[in-house]
Amino acid sequence: MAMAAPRSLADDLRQREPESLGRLLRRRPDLLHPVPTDLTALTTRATTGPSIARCLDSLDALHLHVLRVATTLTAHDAASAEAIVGEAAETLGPDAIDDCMLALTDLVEAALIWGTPHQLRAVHAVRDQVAAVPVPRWPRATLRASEQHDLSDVDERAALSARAALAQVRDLLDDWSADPPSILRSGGLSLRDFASATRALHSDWRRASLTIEVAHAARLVADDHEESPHWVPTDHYDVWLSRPPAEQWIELVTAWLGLNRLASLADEKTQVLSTDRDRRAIPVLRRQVLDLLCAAPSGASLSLEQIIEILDDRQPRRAGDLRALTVDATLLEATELGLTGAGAMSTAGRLLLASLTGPPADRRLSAAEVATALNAALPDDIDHVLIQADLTIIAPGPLAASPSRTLRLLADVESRGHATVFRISEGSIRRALDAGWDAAAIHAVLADISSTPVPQPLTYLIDDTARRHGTVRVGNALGYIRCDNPETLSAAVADRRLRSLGLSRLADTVIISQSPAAELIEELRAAGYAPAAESPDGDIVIRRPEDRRTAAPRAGTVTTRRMTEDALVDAAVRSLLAGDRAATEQRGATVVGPASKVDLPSLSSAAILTALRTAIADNRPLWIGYADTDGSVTQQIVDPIRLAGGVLTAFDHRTEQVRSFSVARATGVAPLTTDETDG
Amino acid sequence: MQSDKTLLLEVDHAQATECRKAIAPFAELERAPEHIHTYRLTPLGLWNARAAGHDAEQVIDTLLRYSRYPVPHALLVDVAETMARYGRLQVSNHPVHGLVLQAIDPSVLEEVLRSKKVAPLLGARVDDSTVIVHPSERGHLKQALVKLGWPAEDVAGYVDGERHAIGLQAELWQPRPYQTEAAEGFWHGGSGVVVLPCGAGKTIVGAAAMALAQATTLILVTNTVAARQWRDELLRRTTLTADEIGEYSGAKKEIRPVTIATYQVMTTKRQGIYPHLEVFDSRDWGLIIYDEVHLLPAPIFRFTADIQSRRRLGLTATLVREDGREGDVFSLIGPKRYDAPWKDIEAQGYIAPADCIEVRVTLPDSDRMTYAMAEPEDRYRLSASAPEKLRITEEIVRRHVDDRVLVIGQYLDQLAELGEHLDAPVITGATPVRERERLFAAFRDGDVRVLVVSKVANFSVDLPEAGVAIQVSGTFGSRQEEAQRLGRVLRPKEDGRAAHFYSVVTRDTVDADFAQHRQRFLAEQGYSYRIIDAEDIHAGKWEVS
Repeated sequence: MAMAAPRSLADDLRQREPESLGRLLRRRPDLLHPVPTDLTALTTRATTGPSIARCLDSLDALHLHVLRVATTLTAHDAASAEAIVGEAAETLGPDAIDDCMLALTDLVEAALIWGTPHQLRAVHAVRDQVAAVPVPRWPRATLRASEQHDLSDVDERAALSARAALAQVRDLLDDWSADPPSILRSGGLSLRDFASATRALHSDWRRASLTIEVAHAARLVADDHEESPHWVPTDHYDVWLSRPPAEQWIELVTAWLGLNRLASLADEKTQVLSTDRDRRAIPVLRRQVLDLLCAAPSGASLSLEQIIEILDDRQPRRAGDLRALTVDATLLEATELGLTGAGAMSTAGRLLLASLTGPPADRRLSAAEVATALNAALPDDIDHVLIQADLTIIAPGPLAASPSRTLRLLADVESRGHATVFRISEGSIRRALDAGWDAAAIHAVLADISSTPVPQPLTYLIDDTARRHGTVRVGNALGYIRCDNPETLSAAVADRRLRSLGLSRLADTVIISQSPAAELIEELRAAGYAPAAESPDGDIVIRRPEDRRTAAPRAGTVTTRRMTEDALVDAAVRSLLAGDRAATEQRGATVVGPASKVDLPSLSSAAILTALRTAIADNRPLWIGYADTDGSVTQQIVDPIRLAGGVLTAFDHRTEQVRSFSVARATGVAPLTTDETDG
Repeated sequence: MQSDKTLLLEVDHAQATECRKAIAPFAELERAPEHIHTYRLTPLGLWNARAAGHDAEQVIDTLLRYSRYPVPHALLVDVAETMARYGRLQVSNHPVHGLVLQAIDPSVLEEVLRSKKVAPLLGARVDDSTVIVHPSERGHLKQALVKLGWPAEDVAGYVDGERHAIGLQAELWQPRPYQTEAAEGFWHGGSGVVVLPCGAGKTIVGAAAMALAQATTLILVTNTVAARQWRDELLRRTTLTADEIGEYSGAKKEIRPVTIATYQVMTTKRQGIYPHLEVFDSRDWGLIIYDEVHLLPAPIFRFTADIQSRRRLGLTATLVREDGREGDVFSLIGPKRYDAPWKDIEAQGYIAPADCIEVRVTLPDSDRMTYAMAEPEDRYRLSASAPEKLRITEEIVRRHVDDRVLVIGQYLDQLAELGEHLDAPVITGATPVRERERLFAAFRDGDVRVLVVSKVANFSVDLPEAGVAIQVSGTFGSRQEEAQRLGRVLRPKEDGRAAHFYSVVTRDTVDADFAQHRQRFLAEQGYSYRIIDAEDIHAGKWEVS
């Protein structure tokens, strides 16, 4: 470029190649919204405080340092690149010169510094914002393994955690199927329900919160929108359950990646599932942490301190509580979800994260790869248990889903880990009986599932409980108590504890009550009877409530949009250059329309949408017939860029600007012929 | 390893024994049923291990080596952090300032000084990491520090006490290897608790400890009968003579070089004070032995806090306290110094194998009615003393004609009735001590074959020849009572025959619920109950094995 040294930033930008402008817009995407009309407008926008602040936020410590040196040196007069780099490297050491030069070049590209290599100036508005930048650490923080693990060990740990995470979600939602917690008016889960879920999962606050939030993010549980709303498992949960474990896992982790909350940042005072905790920066920060783990050598774990150190170097201006919390939460959550093992990224995790940044078409293929990696690391499920005389049942390893659900009905979980300890009790057997099992079925399933003989005390316990179960029956509709044994009823009538129920003897074997059946059952049970509900035709009513379901909310649009769309940037650059020509050449006020007109057929809006999508995908210009605000229809050639929310963003050849078209007002579209495209 | 810090040990695994030995120092055996034993990692257990010289690295290494699945990293970190808390503070003797609390880490001292419970127990600050301790607060301080999670290591040492020669009658008998190990474990640790099953010879561990201490000894036991048995045992096993052993009980108030006092007399309260606690100060004791430490009453705890400069040995069959004061035992008596599961000692032949049987009786319909209409507080009594139990007890006694049988119960009228039916003498709290001793002696000699006893016989009554115990009622759901009662019949028999322990329970009543709770401890120790219907025994469908 044999031009005079630029006199201003606008002048500098005007001298830059279109590619260079494209790079500027890519790295400072806020300049694109909306697309400025010409370079003067772009310059104004690029030198505003907020835009500069956003740009500085994305810079690393070295860049900021060089920029600060540049602002100091160019406060009164321009300085040469050598002078700036020399001064910047002075405090760091001679080995920093190359890096400082690269940083300076980059700062020029970012339009924070302008001019020629002999005469550089920093944008004025930058000065205040970098005045307090400290001298960075040198040499810079690099990725070092804090510990090196065997990859197979990492994968095994991760796979076990992944399986445990799936089991937790299953256990939570099975509990909530029968007894969904209500939704607070403010939108979250009540502390009491959170505490009881934590207890039921044998977990702690942080991990239980993670399970609940992830299940919700994956649309497995949702608001049922009833009059008194509850968190109810969705129909999608049933679909999810039917999938193989690896697919269930991919779904959970994908949902987690997009979650706007720190799922595991919880204690006994946290309102889980509340949108108050949403922060839009979280998915980006979380992804940065995961990307660092992926960038580390295979099998290498990174410590919390190390990750924070690197992030502090890469984006010092973003350092803060939220980032520190995100790093901490992400490390814990990635471990719990089985993305990492022993602090290092697992093979399956690496594949999954890589697949999510690739084009959508590749994802199905990658999912298969992820599943293979995960399955290879998973030890076999255990399908048998040991039953002991002290009425504990022990699964000495990860239990398959089906026996696990059976045992959760027949027994209570006493301790959890990779193995599970269940305790069977009168209460738990009664629960199974209430759910429609009988003694024979319980004996059979235990004998089947146990690798050792069922101990005699357990056999007795089951028979005793079954024998007593249902000998007292309680009517729902009439509020009666019926029992074949008159003495039992005499006892019940005489029982002082049951006085509040207002019992009166109807016949030798029947009592009626003033209380509803549910209350009757509760009181009788508390008094030591073992009542069962009875249907009008005399059968024992199976008391287990139906599993409740609600509709899953619609899946959000996949938010993997790349930071800047190439098409938009290209069009914006063309628009800028054209606008600039217009502004500088003082062209005539009237813009001439296209030379030739085509006969545009009227099309339905569906047909128009299809044509527009095709044109965007093929990156081809087309004719569009468009009704203006005054109702007159014009025809123009546009390069369609983006179609969203019924609005087409396109480069208009006539005005040489990027503008928006409402699809509703488009009367028709047609492809261009070859010579028109060239022209 | 589970997320709640329990360890599951597969008993049938080839490495099970090796692994059990490796984890025993730091993990507490919680239950030991037939296939999988459960151990628990608790702060107390880990501190016990630290006190015994194990470090976190060893513990973690053991966990990693024997775990079938990878151990969660967070748990390992937690183990390391918990263990590192022990010994950051030390109670020691300062050459100038006397008893001081010293911190390796001054910030820990800062933290505990800020606690309202600890500050009043301490004196002036000597420097950053040292603060003076009032000698009388040594125990209270340790108690408070354990509660704060910073257990102090007590290296201030002990006073030797008044010397008194005590030897074992080595030419007549030898202690069993585990008894020697237990006594030495205690001695090297300074103070602490030895856990041995009933019938495993805890008295002998006491005697061995006395022989190591060679000093005047105060022995605290549960009741007078136990006191007499300690005396007899000491006379038989050691060089002590009758003149050297004193009894301090309701009946006698002797203070001798070896004094045996009962909890009951020590905790007698008059006008708001405990006049007999002065026994602690009456001599310059070199050793204090607490028998049945799991029953140690609260006033004794309080007083024990004041005598931390004396060596203390706790003896017990179980650290389970129904009141949950295990932490006080740890800080005031000392860490656990020796532990052997019941089944292990049984396997070595030192205690008799036992056959535990739950016999279920059914209430007749008329009684069922009475039961149903009874007030809740009367229900246990009604069901536990069901008349049906008399018949079946008689029947069981008849099946064991060749054995000596103890019938144990809670309710005096039930016991009286049983005595009448079985034509057997009855011993209750009201029976004079002389009469009790006479009857026990007759039982030992075989002149009396069946004894009906109340809960006075729960503890420390040595009846080696009892081979059958029939429990008809108990103190509700007390687990340690069940263990004690089983212990009555576990002394090894001369002919090596198995012991029988029957628990007679009324079906479908609170009696059965309590029985289940009581049995849990023994089931967890590997004793499994068989269940038999009383009807089957009456019908002759069942034979004594």
